Amino acid sequence: MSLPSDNPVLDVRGLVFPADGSVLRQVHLAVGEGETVAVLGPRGAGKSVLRACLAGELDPAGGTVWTNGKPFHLMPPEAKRAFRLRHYGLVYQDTVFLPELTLADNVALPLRFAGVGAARARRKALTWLARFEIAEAADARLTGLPLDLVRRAALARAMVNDPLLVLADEPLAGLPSQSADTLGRVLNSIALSHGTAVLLFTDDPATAARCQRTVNLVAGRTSAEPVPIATVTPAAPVGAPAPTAVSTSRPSPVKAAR
Amino acid sequence: MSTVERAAGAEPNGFRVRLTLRLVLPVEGSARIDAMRLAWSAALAALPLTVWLAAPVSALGTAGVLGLACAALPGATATAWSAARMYDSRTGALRALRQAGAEQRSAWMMATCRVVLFTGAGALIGGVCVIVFHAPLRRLLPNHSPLRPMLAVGGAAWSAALVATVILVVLGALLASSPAWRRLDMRLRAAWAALPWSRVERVVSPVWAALRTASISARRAARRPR
Repeated sequence: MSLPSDNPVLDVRGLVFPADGSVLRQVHLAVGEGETVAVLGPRGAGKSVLRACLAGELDPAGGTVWTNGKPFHLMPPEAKRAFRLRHYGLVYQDTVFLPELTLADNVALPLRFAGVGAARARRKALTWLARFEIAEAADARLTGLPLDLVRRAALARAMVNDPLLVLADEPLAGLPSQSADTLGRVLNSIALSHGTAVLLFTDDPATAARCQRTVNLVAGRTSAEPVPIATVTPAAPVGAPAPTAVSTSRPSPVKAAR
Repeated sequence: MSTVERAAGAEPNGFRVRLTLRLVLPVEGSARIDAMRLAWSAALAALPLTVWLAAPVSALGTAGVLGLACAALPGATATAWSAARMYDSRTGALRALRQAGAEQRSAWMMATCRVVLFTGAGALIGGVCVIVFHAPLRRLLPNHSPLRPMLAVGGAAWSAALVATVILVVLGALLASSPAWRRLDMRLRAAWAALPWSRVERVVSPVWAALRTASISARRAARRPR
């Protein structure tokens, strides 16, 4: 897998949040089409804040966020929301679904909010549930479902609008290794086949190893410095393109862009 | 071009209404019980509140107001407690809607619709009960009762009082199920835990529980056939 092109799907430069830089300072990132990139950092490193800044849920105090060649950081809140509905898929650390709706209806919700008709949204939701291998649970209510199914449903909801970019906060957290491997494989293959850029935020090196490249987030700064070998499980996802051992040998895309 | 780009892009009103209607009625047993409890609590709170709001100012003596306040206390407490129990479902719905891409304002409205509907229905039932039964109740009351002059008002006053009651009880329930109330509740609990009395309670409670368990075991042992 090559480095992001000159015109990456997501290009972040010098992101600062808040103004004093106590959470994020000088965050640089670039994610290309079809690429899965892990943002790896310990708890409290600012991963969720970074995800919120990239999704437009928080306003960064400085820096630029370009998505698909558009200045996302300059958009007013309403335009950000519309842009997010069209081009972003979001997976939250604490994924919540509406228990009053079925799984398929929950997955179809982003499309319904974007104005897509009920039948078409449901068809699309069923397609994505099938791709994540949970089509049989489409009409299930969301109480007491296993975590594996909830994680898959969260990813299906993020992918349902054919996004350019998926921002996934700990999408494999709490899953047994085998399930996480399978889901990581599915995610990689979907990213490749749909050309979706996936940015995955995690504190687990094993999860980061399932992505094609890793960017470390430490004390609010990104760096492509090698992750200690002892903490990384360099397990290549089967069926996905061979990742380059958590990108430790690769230069940061930003450095490359410079 | 993605599916969404081909669509109109605006959050359709018809869909919002249909989704709100689906979210109003709880599907889980515990959520249904919470909602019904809130409705009955609101009805209980609405009884004295309607009378107080409808009563002419001249009829509101100290004894009457104190009596109404005492009568409102169980209902108001129960409404606040029941509404506070719905905080989790309300914030859960809000978060789920926001995560699915709903606009902030419409997500808030959809998430609060259950609290509003059940509280409003309860307060309406309570208020209507007062309006329907105030005349026979007034006849039953002794002449010197402070409540008697409060009930001697016309239809317009009752109608206005009913509307005001529903609004006040719904606002109270919204406040009690809000994050601000949750924060206040946590602070009050922390303050309670810091009191010397609560330390005594922490010692007494396990001893009391142990005594109760021993007593129950002894009774069971006595009942067991030899």
